[in-house]
Amino acid sequence: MLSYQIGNPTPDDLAHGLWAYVDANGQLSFTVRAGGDSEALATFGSGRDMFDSLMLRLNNDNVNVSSIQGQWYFNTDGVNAAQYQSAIESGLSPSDAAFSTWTGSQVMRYGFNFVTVPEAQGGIIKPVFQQVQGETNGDH
Amino acid sequence: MATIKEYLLSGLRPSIAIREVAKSRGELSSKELIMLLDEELNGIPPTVANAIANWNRKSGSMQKCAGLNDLQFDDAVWGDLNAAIARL
Repeated sequence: MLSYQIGNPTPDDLAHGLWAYVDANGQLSFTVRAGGDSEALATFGSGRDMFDSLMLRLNNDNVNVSSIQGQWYFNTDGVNAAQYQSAIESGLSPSDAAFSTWTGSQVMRYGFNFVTVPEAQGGIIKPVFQQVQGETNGDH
Repeated sequence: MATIKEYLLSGLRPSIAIREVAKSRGELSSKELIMLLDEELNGIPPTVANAIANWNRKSGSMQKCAGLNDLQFDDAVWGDLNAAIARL
């Protein structure tokens, strides 16, 4: 498993950074948190900055990312789960709701245009984003 | 020193088992914990690594905190940890 780190996203530490893992199948999973102070923001950048840095580094390392798995925790301060839940409650499909999140909008910029959203289990939902030609989301 | 596998098989919840491992090795950082579990489990499941990155170990079982409290952490990793141990 390949791993990458920017800063330290752990909430009881710096609370600002990104950790990412790519498994043997090319599935990328990552945690990003941008809750640090102005110094952390100046040093490591915003969440989007850190995600872009990760994608650039993966490209430079010739790492082929076949899919991106989210891991979103309900009833926490996690942004994605709250955005997903809000979108579902407003009537969006699970796929459209997944793309309406912070992570969904980031991965869409890199061509990950299809998502599979399994049922949430134990307060966690794990959508998997992929690049599929001719698709706009996973509702087809 | 006991391993994470031994602690879990003794019936401890993952949050307690991992705390014991971290304490016995001199209060490991989250990053060090991930590396240790990666070694002990012959590859840490990414879901477990992500949960550790989101785990607020200072929170205990408080319901509201930044990141995951202990109960949320246990829910996030228990199944994948058991599966990883079963594969050893």
